[in-house]
Amino acid sequence: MNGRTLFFRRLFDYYKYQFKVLHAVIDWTVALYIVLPAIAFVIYQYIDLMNGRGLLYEWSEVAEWRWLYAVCGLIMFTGSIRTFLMEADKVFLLQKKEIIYQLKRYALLYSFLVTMAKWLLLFFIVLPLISHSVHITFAESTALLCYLFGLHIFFLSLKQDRIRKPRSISRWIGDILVRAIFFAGSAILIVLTQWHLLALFGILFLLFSVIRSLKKTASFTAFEAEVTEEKKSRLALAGLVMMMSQEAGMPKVKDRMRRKPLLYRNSKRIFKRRTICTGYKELFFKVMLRNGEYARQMYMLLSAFTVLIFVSPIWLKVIALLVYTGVCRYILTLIFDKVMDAPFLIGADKESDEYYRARKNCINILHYAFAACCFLAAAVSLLFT
Amino acid sequence: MTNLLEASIEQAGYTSRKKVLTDVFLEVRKGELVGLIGANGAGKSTAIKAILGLSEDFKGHIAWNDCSFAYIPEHPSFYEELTLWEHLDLISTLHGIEEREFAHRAQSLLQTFSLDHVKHELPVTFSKGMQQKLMLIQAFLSKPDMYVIDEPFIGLDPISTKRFVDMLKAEKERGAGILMCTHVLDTAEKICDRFYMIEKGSLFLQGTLKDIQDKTGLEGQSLLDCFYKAVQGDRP
Repeated sequence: MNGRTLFFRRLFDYYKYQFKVLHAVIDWTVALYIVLPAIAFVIYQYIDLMNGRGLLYEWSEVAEWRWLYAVCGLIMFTGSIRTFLMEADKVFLLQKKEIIYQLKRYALLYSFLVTMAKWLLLFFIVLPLISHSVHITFAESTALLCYLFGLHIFFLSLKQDRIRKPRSISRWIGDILVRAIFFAGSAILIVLTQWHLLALFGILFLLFSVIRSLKKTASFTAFEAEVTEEKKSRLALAGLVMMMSQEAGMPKVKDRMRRKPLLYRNSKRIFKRRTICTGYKELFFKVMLRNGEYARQMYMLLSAFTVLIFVSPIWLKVIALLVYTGVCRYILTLIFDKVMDAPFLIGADKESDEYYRARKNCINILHYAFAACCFLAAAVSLLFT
Repeated sequence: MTNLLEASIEQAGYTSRKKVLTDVFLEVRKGELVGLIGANGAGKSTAIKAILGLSEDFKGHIAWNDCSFAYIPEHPSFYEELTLWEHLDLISTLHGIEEREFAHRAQSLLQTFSLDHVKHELPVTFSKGMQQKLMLIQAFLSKPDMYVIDEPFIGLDPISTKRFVDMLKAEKERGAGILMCTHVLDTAEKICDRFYMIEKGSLFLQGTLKDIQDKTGLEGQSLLDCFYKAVQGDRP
C-alpha cells in the first residue's frame, strides 16, 4: 500500500460517510417531495434570470452586484487544508513515514482542488447573472478568479498554522485583524488595480501558500492537532444535521490544544456570592458561554425567527414572536436539564429549593434576553413595513 | 459499628432481558474500607451503578443511612467547559463549604496531587492520570461520610498512588466508609478490611483476608492467589 492508494481509500470512505449522513436525513419521500422540486424551481428561476425575467431578475436589479462581496467573504471562511490522517496512524503508519507524507501531499492537492471548484462554481453561476449590471471582460473575470482563489488558499494556510498553536484572545483578535486588513485591501485592489496586476497578486499568494503548506505537510509535529481538525471536518455535516435536533447530540471532538477558557480566565466567578443557587447558576452560564454548540443552537434559532419576522406581514410577526418565546424557553429548559444531568453532579441534591430556584432564574434570564432580541427585531422590521 | 450503606441487589443490568448481577448483598460500616473484587466483566461496575441508582434495570433495595457520599468513577467525568478550579468550586459550593475553608482544602489537595500549576486550565486537555486526579480531589474535597470508588489506580503515577492510599487511610481513621472496586489486588490486600468477590454476576466469597484464606484453603497466601484459586479452582 502506498500513500496514493490510502488517500483514495480514505477519500472514498469520507464521501461514503457524508452520503450516509445525508441519506439519514433525506429519505426518498423527502427527496421526491421537497429536494427535487426545490432544485427544479431553482433551475427554472435561473433560466428565467438568464433570459431577463422572473423573481431573481427583479431582485438582482434591486440588489445589483454588491452582495457578491458578502458571498465571496463567506466563501473565504469555508474549507481547510485536509490531511485525511486518523488517530490510529500514529500506531500503525507513523513507522512508514513516506506513506503519510504521500497521503498528506495528495490531501493538500485535494484541498486546493476543492477550493478551486468553489470559486469556479461561483463564477460560472454568478457571472452571467450580474453581467447586465457589471461589464466585465473574460480577462478581468479570470484575473479576479485567480486573485480570490490565491487569497483563499493563503487564508487556508494561515488556518493550518493556527490549529498548531493554543487558542488565546490575542491570537483570536490578531486573526480577525489580519483577515479584516486583507479583505479591505482586496476590496481596494479589485476596484482600483489593473487586471494583470490582480492576477499577479493572486499567483503570488498562491505560490507563497503552496510553499508554506508543503513544508507543513512534511512535518509531524502537529500530528495530534491535524487529527483533531480532520475529525472536525468529517463530522461537520453530521453536526449541522444534528443541530436541527434537540434530542440528538454529536460527540464533541476533543481539542487538545485548548488550555484556558477565553472568558472568565483564571477561574474568575460570575457571581460573587457563593450559595448553592449561585453554584448551579455559575455552572449553567459558564457552560452556555463556553460551549459553542449551545450558543450556535440559540443563535440559529434567533436568526431563523428574526428573518421570518422581517419578511412576514404584521399579523404573522406577532405569531412568530409568540412561537419563538415558547420554543426558546423549551430549548433553554432542555439545555439546563442536560447540563445538570452530567455524572459529575451525582450526589448533588437536585430536589432542593435552591436547585429549582437556580433553574427558574437561569432559564428566565436567558429567555428574557433572547425574547428581547426577537422583539427588537420585530420593532425594527415595523419601520420597514 | 454503624452501617453507612446496605445494598441488597436482587438483580441489576442494562436491559430487562440480560441480567448482569443477581443476589448481591453488601454493606459498608463506618471507618471501614471494603474491597469489591472480580474479574473483567464480573459485574463490579454494574454493582456500583446499582448502588448509585444508575442501573437501567434494577430490583432490590439500597439504604444510605443518612450519609453523604462521593463517587470516583472509573472513567473520569467532568464538564469540558469548566476549569479544574471551577469544578472544585462548584462541588464545594453545592456542599455548602465556606469559601476560606474551600480555598484551603482545595489548595492543599492540588499540591498533594501536583495539579496546582494547571488549576485554571480545562481538564479536557489533561492526560488520563491528571483527569483521574481531578476525580480524587473532588471526592476528598467535600469530606463525605462514604466513598464509592471504581478502579481508582488506573493512570495514577506511583507518587499519586501512594498519596491516594495514605489519604484513604486517613479518611478511614476519620470514620468514613469506603467501598472500592479494584483489580490491583496487592494494594487492596494491604488497605482493605473486608472483601466481596464477584464472579459471573454473583457474590461467591466474602470476609476478611483471613476468612478468604481459610475458605480457599490457602493459609498465609496473598489475596491474588486466593482469588485465582477461588475463580479458577485447580485449573492452571
